[in-house]
Amino acid sequence: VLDPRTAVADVAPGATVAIGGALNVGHPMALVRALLQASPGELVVVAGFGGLDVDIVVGSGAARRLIAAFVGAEGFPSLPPGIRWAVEGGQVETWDLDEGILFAALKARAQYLPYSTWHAGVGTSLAAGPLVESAVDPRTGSAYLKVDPLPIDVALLWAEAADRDGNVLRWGPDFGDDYFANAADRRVVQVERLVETEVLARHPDRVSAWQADAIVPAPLGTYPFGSNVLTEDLAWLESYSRRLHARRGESGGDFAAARALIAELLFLDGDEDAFLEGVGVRRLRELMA
Amino acid sequence: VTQLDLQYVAALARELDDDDLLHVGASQEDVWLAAKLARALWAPNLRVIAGCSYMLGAATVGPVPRTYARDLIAARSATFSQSHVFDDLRRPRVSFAGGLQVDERGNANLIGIYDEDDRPLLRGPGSGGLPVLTAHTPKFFIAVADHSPRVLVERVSRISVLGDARARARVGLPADALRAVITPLARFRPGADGLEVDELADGVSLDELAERTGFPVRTAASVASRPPLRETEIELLHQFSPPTVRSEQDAR
Repeated sequence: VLDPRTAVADVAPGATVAIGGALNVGHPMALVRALLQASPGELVVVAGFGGLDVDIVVGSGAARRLIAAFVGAEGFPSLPPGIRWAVEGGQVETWDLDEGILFAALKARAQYLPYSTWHAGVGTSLAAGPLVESAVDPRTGSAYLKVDPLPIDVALLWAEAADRDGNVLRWGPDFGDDYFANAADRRVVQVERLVETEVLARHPDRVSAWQADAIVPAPLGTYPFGSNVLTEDLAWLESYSRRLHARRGESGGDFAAARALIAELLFLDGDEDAFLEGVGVRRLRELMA
Repeated sequence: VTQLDLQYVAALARELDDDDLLHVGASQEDVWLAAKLARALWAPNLRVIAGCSYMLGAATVGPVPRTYARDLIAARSATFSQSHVFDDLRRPRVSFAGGLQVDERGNANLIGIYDEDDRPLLRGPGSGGLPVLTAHTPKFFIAVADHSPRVLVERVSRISVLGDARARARVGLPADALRAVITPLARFRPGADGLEVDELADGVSLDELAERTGFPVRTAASVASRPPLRETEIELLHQFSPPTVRSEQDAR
């Protein structure tokens, strides 16, 4: 059981870090914020249906490569502003894949396979991605894809609760995070509550046994994203998106300006609680209602 | 909300059948409204996965199912597992793909728009799960809320969704799976040489369509007028709440 800063202290420069959750929900933002403060740099960031958490990491300049099936927000029209800035400015390399190819790559890693095979995606641009080789089955003549394993050094995930043995209580939906957990060398799971094993045992169908190598209790720590106890703060997310987009224009494209704005919005110069203190009790209570 | 928007939602709805299993994707409020309209009027058995939740039986939820919304998860009829979402591709789902670009062959691009030197001009959100949802299914659609020459183009920069029938056949996918590209102005059906318009929205001429489309507009053997909204449809669509039609305009 660790605090966020200690939990990510071993993330090395250049590491491949997967971030769980999907769209506006289930992102381990206490861990993401600690990662940005630790600032190892040159990260390879991996996401499935990523939200603006991934945009925040890329926009802050922490990543050299983005591997994601999708990154976006729901509830307002916007393309991820930090990723747009970084990619269109040549700051970050992208490996384009879709959810099916991503899962195939993670499965290959988890199961020690030289590659896994996949069919959907044949004929698309994704078949030319760095992890993928187009192939033809000699027996049937069918086109298919060989998908290389995708190593994950650290998976940063969120769950409802966990015990000290690393048994994890999922909320219900899994966001596809099980693939990250299975493929990762190290799994850090941020939770709303640390509980006794007996509490988990009341919900056996939602427990993933020994899924965490480190547990980080961080109540409300998904903010501004949603969780089982918190509705996502759409106003914050929309403001983030709008302000980062505007800052790109105001700064003449100077990418360092993105990092500065993100540091301000996430209170990165403050301690673990600084962000939520900045949001305020009134707003948090509204989102918990 | 304009009449064209409502007509557009109704046009999406009319493509849905009673025995379909519809997968509503992220930020697809218009498709969700279309599903509700179809279920209310002619497809009571339409099965829907929306907001990454199963809507079993007559179950429904509030106006806009944001993916994994707290209330939606609390009220779920069954738990949706993203990790197993592609385990049952033999049980095809119907979907409506979107795109930064859609070309005259019926391919869609959500990855990004690139210049002639392959430098990124506009980074998109990514392909998500659409390459899978549109691969083996016998039936999918492309929905384009923003009918403009920069979206409807001759060739997409990248292919996320393969709609081109000949290209699909070459790689062993159901060739005729793309049934239509639907916009607020028109409906295009795949023809021998690419998309052909076979339906025009109320008040839209072929000249206007050609002006607002980035590829040469071909016409099908006959071009129908989009059926006007019936009173019942208007009442239901207002009752379901006004649609927030998808748009990437602000971000461009």
